[in-house]
Amino acid sequence: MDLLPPQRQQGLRDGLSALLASHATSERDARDSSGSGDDPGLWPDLVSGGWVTFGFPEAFGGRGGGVGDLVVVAETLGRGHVATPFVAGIVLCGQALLATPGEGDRLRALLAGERTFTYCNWEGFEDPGERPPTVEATETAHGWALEGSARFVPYEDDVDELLVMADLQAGRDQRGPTLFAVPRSSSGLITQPVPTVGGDRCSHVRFSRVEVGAAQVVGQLGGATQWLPRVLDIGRVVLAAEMVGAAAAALSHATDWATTRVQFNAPIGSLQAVQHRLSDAYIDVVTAQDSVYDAAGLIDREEGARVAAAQAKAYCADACRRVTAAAHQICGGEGIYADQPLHLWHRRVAALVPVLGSVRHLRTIVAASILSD
Amino acid sequence: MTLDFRFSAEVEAFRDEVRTFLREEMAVDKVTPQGDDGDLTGLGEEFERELLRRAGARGFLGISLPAEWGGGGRPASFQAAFNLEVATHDAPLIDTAVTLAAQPLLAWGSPDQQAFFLPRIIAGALIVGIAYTEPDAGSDLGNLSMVAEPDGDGFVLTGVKSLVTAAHKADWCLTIARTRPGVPPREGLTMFLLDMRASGLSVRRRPTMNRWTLGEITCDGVRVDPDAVLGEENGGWRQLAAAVATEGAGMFHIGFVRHLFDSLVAYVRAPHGGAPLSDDPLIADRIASLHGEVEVAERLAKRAIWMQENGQDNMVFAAMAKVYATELLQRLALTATDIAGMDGTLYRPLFGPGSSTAAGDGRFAWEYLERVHGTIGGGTNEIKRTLIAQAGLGLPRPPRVA
Repeated sequence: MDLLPPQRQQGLRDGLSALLASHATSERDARDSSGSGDDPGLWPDLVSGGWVTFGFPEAFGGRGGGVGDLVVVAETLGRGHVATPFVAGIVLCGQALLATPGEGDRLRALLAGERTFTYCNWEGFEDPGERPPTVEATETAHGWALEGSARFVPYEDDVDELLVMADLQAGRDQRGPTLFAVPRSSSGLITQPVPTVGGDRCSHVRFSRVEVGAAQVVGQLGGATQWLPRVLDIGRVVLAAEMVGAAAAALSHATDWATTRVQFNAPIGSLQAVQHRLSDAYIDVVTAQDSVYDAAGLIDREEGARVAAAQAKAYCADACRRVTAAAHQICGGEGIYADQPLHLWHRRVAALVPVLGSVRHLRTIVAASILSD
Repeated sequence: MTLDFRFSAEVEAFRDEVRTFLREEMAVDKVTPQGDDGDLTGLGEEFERELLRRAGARGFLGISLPAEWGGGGRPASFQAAFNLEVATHDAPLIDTAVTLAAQPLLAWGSPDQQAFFLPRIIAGALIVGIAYTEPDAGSDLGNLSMVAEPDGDGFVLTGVKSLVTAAHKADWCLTIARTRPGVPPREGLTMFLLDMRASGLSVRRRPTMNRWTLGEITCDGVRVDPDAVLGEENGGWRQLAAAVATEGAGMFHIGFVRHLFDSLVAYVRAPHGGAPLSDDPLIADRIASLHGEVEVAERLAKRAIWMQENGQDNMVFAAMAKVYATELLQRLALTATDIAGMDGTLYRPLFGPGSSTAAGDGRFAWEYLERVHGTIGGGTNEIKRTLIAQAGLGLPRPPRVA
């Protein structure tokens, strides 16, 4: 048993928190009820400062470290209630490229901030065999033609290439899910922005006979199933970490409020009904945190993490929703104003709950591990 | 961030040793004739004392107590692993003497008291109970009314202690009484080591809702010598607060949790003359959800242990672990009886006879009754939540009502 936070990760947390705090003072006054909490200057600073390269090997321009680092970055962003392309653009795309042999150049460009990507299976391509891809690829004289659609693609308006999973149509021996890097500028690519609760700029993307060259195939034809489970495990743990950060910050905010808000001549935080609700929220936060750190440890130690990752995200989804709801109840009327930060944490958690698999779906993974032979 | 919640290889090796011992000692044919549903352990006193001595001889008791008294001198994880296995196997070794009495003795006992009690506790030769609660002083120990009046160089104890586990069979118990009249409790309480054979002391066994009994101890002018005082005279309030705070992470709850969860999984996977219940997606979803909670409970308890082992104040996390595990046990028992339908109402005492069709071997209904008291004893979960809020989150104390 070793529950001492690794020093490197503690340092990363402190550094990133300081950067977020410096942005919070000047640029985020203009919060509005759209809930974006968006700060246009923050993401470029995160990229140029190299904050998004933690958790990737140095050989590709990363800072080294593992999933534990990704978790710290996500949790800190969650605390800061900022919607960013971190999970979709860096974690999922970066880990997919890292797991795919021969994709070093794309990964280097991604980590250096020279080329930007997004991931078209945000909604949850879910697990191999769970559901067929919604995009199909047919071979052409010069490469491939993609037909189909992907829903809820984050930040596609701001990327060079979209990583999309497509099923190969007959005509070759190799079948099965294949990853394509589709240039955003391709003709036949039609996007429709959709407003979501969390402030990520999501779009539905339609591929209407989008033609790409053979060089746009990422890895081997039909080879995506080899790396997909690991990317899903990492993605789920990182999403859980972002929810945990948001919940922890909401709890801290509500605790401060309960300590200073006076009614009946005493701080409301001295009332047992308030203390017990916050005490339950505190238990939710620490247990959610530990489920994430435990699962991240399993992945980094290369132990089987599929069930732990699914379990961590399912548990965090439930626990973190309870926490932000409790925080709202404690903060009363003041907490529902848009110029107060509470709704931003509430929104971030709600937006992340269904990503890469609903709670229901994740529990089927857990149940199968316990109930089948 | 990454953390590692696994017990070390050394702890796991010790745990294997304990498991092997328990499988042999608690074999069905050995325990079945020893059943006694009037005792919390479900087993007769002779069997319990014999098992205590055998566990003591193996060096299992007091594995984390200091070696100078015969203990194992190992880190707290070893005691935790022992408690986990003992609870998983329903063994009557969730020992109050080691877990609750030894710590106050180590902290405040005189050299003579330590030399008498600690080696005997560690050898499994003594059953020691805890008798703090009174009919009018449950959560509010400031309301204690047992009096210890000075009598020569000793004291005479008069009053009633209630809800005492194992009172009918204990050799000794730790208790607390007022030694100074007319002062606030924090200035006038003293802890005592009470010989249960003392003249003037009587025990009334009162059956609980799940058949086993708790004891009500009446002291009608019980004379004790000065060496019965544990720690500082009139320093009992502070000592009691510390004793309650160091009750530990309650890893034995995790053993109960694992046992019940495993029974539930086995039950839903069994065919019962048709398709197993686990084929029902609603049941599978509940099992998966509970599985997550089982792991959460275990991580919380392990965190509290780890903090203790690393010299950190674990009071808040131990309280969280207790609240979470005892409430999870209630959810598990509720789910088990719910899923089992009418068969879940069939009752069998822990080691007693019962219906062959009873769900979970008759255990589900027993669990449903048994898990009620977990959220009440050892500090109610309300008291624990208040502690978590005030000591953990720093929330203010309520204004004192005069």
